[in-house]
Amino acid sequence: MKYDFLDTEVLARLGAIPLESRTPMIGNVAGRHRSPHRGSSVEFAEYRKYVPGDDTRRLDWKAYARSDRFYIKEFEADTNLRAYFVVDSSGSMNFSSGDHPTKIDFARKVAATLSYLIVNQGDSAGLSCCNDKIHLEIPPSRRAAQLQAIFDSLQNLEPTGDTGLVDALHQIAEKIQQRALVIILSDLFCETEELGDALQHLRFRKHDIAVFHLLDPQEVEFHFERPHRFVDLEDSTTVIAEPNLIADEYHAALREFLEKVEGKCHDVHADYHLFQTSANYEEIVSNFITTRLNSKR
Amino acid sequence: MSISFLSQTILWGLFAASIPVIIHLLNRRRFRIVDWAATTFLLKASRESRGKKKLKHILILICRTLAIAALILAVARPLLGGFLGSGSGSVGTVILVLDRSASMETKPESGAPSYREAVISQVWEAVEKMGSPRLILIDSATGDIQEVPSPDALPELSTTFATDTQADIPTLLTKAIDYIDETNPGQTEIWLASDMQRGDWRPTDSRWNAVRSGIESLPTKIKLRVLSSGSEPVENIAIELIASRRVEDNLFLDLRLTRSKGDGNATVQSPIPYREHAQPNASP
Repeated sequence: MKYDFLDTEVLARLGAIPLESRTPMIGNVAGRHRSPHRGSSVEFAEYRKYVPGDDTRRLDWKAYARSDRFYIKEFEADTNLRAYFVVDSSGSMNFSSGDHPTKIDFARKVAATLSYLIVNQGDSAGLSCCNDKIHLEIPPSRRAAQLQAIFDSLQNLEPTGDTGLVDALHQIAEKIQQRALVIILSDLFCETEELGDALQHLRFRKHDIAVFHLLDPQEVEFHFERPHRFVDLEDSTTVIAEPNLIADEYHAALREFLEKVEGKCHDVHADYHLFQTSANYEEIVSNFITTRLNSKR
Repeated sequence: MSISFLSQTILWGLFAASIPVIIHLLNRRRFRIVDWAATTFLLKASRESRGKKKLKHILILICRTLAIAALILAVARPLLGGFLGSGSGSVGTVILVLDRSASMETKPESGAPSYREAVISQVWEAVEKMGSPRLILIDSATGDIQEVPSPDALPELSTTFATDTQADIPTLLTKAIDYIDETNPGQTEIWLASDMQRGDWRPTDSRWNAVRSGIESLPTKIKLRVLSSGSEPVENIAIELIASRRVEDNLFLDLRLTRSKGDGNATVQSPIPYREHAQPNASP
């Protein structure tokens, strides 16, 4: 396999578990996911009173015989899932400490694995990459060739520039007309209030939101022995600091940031996953899929 | 408030108090460059820690500097006078035991005062700063106990001049203790000015036990300060006159040069100055 972010063994193991949507989806073809509309699946949904104009073929005559009233018997409609991967490709995603992969490498693995699983189960997957603006968009499709397009794009992704995730999410919220699963992979180094607004925007459009919050272990631990000159990966801002002196304040600021981000995600019922790049991505993806099986609304 | 030091040369070590500051500054300059993503938190942390943490750090730095300075000042053996000195009880009497042996005429470098002259001037300065307590002098040449009317007179006294004698430190200390025992002068300090020659101190002498017990048995506690002069010489050369004979107008001297320490095989040039006294004219 020419893509080093794909592991065939992992794909084979995870392929057995279906990826479900937590909310009803509006798709264009029949699929395995619930739809808000009534349809013709075998799963009974509800009875509703007949109103003039309804198709008389859908009248339940047995119910009429029992109650002397006209009822329409409705069934669930199953449709397909559209998943949009939003990958943050700003400069900060290129950070890595020690032997851990960079955040963008980790995002590549997660996005590629999930998109493979989604397309493989007959659903659509699309990709949007953004730094200061959206610089790459692949509309969702369930064709097999779609995977190659996504993988090639992920392979060639070069993280540079500032974070423009908030604007990108607003644009995506406006652009996606039908309900979809929006999977965000980012370090979320942006204004939390603005991020909350963007997530609200997505939620308002009734999208199912999943957030993969990626951090490097060094960003969490902040363990340095000597004074360092920290050069920002996005705008090359230089900060000279003695980590020993500011470690407590740094941890407090990070804690506050994580609490805010998690709070914003909970406000919009987003599926929030915080993890470090030292973690096993297979476990993360597996955990993501299995928890969704149990949390269908 | 006045303060003087018995070992003033050690005060040069006060420059060592700047070591923590230098280390701090060097550490600040020796930073590593690292690419970083979470700069927002870094900036916030730097802003928040600027006040309290920096103050704490500066206080630690000051404490380290002061600790080194205090250590060096303590090694320099300060003598406190005035307000600071009053805390430890004012000294009523100082008994100066002065070693006037020939070795005290050693000059550490050419043009510098001899050990004896330096220690006299040091004592004079210290006594002045202590508010001129009663000064008693016991010199090694005469062994007499003499009250010095004023510290200014100390360099002028014949009992502080140079001699070619040898000192007997245990005897001098015994005399000082006896004097204290007899006169009970109150708060007293014994200042022993010597160049620490083994021959003068006689460390194996049995009288040292008596000195120790004498000090312990005194009714009031006294302080014994040793004003040590000089340092261990790198090389010690001694000259000894073995014999002298006159043949007609010529004077022949047999001298023995003893050299200790240093590299035994190295050639050493050591000029021996001599002074010729003119023959007094015979009266007609």
